[in-house]
Amino acid sequence: MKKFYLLLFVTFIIVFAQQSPEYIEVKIIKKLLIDMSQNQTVKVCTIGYKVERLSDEKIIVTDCYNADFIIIGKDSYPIYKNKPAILLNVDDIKNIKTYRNVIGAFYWKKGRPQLIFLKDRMQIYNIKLPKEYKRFIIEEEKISLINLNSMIPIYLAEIR
Amino acid sequence: MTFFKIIAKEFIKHSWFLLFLFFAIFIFSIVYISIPLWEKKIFDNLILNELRKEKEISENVIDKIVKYAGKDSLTEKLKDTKFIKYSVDLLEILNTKDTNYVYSVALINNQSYILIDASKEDRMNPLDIFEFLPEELPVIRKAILSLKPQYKVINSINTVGITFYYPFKDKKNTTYLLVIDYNFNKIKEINDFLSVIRKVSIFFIILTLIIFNTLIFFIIKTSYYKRKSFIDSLTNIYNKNYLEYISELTDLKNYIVAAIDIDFFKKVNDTYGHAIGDIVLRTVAENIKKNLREEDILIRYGGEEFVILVRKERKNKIEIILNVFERLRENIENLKIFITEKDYIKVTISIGVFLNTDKEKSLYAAIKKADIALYKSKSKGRNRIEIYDEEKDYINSLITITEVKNAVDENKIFCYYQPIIDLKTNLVSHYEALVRMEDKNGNIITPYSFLTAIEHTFVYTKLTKAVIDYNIEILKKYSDIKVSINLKPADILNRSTVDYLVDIAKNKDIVSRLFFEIIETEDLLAYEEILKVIGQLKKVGYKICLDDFGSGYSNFVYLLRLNIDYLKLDANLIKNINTDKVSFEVVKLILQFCKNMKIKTIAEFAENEDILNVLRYIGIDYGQGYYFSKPKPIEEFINQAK
Repeated sequence: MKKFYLLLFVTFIIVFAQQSPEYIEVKIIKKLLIDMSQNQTVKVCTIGYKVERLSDEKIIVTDCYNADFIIIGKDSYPIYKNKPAILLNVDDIKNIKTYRNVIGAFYWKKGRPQLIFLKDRMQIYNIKLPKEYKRFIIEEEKISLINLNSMIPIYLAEIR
Repeated sequence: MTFFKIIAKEFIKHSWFLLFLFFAIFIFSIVYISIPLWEKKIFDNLILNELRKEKEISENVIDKIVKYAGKDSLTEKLKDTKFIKYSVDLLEILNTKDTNYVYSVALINNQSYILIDASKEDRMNPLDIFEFLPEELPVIRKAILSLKPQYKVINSINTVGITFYYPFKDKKNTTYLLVIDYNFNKIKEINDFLSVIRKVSIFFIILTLIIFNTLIFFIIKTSYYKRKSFIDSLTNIYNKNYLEYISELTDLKNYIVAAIDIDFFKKVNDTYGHAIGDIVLRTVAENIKKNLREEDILIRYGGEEFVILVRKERKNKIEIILNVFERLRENIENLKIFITEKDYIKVTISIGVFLNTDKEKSLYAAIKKADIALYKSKSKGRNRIEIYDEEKDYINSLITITEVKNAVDENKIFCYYQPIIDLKTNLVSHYEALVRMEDKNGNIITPYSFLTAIEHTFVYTKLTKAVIDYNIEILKKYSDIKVSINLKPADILNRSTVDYLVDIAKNKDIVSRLFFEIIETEDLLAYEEILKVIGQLKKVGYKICLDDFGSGYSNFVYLLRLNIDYLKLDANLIKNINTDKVSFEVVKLILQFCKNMKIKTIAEFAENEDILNVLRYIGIDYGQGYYFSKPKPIEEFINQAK
């Protein structure tokens, strides 16, 4: 099974071989969005992320009210608690726990692209991903094996 | 020869250079193809050398960390902040200007987590989840299983350079990895070096390919123009350039060489003009070509002279090959060359064939022999085939230029004389000087054997002067004789010879007894110039005789304008005068013309009494021939007279 996961990343990497991190990032996000919508047209809104990067015939960039997913750029905050969000380029992955509507994150660590999805939150929003993502779907407590109990999950609405 | 054969020969001509280019392309391609292999070797050598140093330090660092943890596993020990600080401090030793990240990783439930991170930037917390790149996983697996350090050059992404993986275990036998990510500086250096090699190889491959293609283009282009330059534009057959081209390439023994000449072609040009002459040349060439095989070679050798190389085949007997020439001759003889819609003219050809080409060294020597046979064919009356007679060995019997030159220098040039008789008085009018040469063995050589060799050379001019000098001496020695000397148009057109004759003319006695017989040949092309020189010679007192009139190129208009004193009728006109009415009437006609123009007539070939009687009857002034005397030294005539 691991081979299969490897294949996913290999596919990613081969396709984006020797490309810049920005290019890889956009390609991965696009693929994620399309896969999350089961290859259907998907409406997204972006916060703190350049919209034009995501232009694709299956991706409609719209306002967050009408969006299916929210893409949250670095140092930005999700604004709709009822919309599944993907967090990008987060400095500390543990922050993912802070925003309860964030279902996954894509970020870079030590020059390597990192991708995780939170199993429970995906279930909340009834989001299904193809099997090839299985490796990246983890339980929330496995994001970090340290200080698990000290983290206090918060919702976006509460921040407001 | 086909275009492709010319191309093939051009390729052979440039084969060394082409081979060199092939070799160059091959070598550079090998270099280019093997660059990835070199890359690996260079990386292995450079990186392993570098990492060997790192390995020793890493061992010490890890050893201390494990010792510090004691019996605890390292993950358990992470609760101890002192341990973390201690470990980070130790790992930081491994940070250099070439490293980006230094960290250790714990592998828990198929997931990798940061253990201690001492990276200069992007530092992670202990036990944070961390994903390696897929291409790293096999190397990591290998490192863990073998417990030996490994490295990996990351190719898929440009944010990681080279990564060093150092596996180690704690006291609880849990496996960890020390990971050091090196930046791109090293890779860049190596890649820059390889890139230069790659670029140089590509440059030379392209350059060599360009040269190669250009050369091929020029070979084809040269072949095309070569073929074009080989073709005579008028007749559309090969020209002399081609002969030169094949002279070294052709295996002569496979061919029979023939020289062909259109008979009386000058007459055609003079009568009908050059445009018709061109039609005749074209038609004859086409006809000959049509009757030859593909493998035979037809070349326009000169004005109206052609050379044919007929390919020999083992089964072909000589008779069959000769039939080819006979067929050519016959076809041309029967060929009607239309000059208008209704009018046509007919021409004939003379052919000289040289069969034994296998004994010959060069094509030109073979053509010379065919030419000798052609000359023979023409002198025997034209419209016939003559084969070079090996037994008579013309070439060997011919004298070389050097021999003639030596003979001239050593005063071995002298003359025999044949008397010209006044047919009214039966007395000797004068003697025709006929040149002879004494060879080194004391043999007396006739001009036929040595004139061909020296034609168009300076020796010919020397010979002419030697003959003139010899005759002046004779005239000085015998004051009661007159002598005529033969001159070719080439002599007359030679300024130094003419000046010499003008100078001699200061001696009035000599000039009054010295005649010149100018041979009428087809070469009499520079007619106006000749006319001028004859006028000059006559002005200083010489008598001029036009020789061989009726031998083929005779023209009454020339005769009228040349203002000559004597006209010598050619043997062809005289030899049948007693039996052939046409000859008789023609001679009578010429005689009448000469009487009107006050030109004295001399008949050659006065061989017997019958001819002589006819000559006397019609009123010819002088006769010359064996009936009176063979050519012999002048002394014999002088002695006879005594």
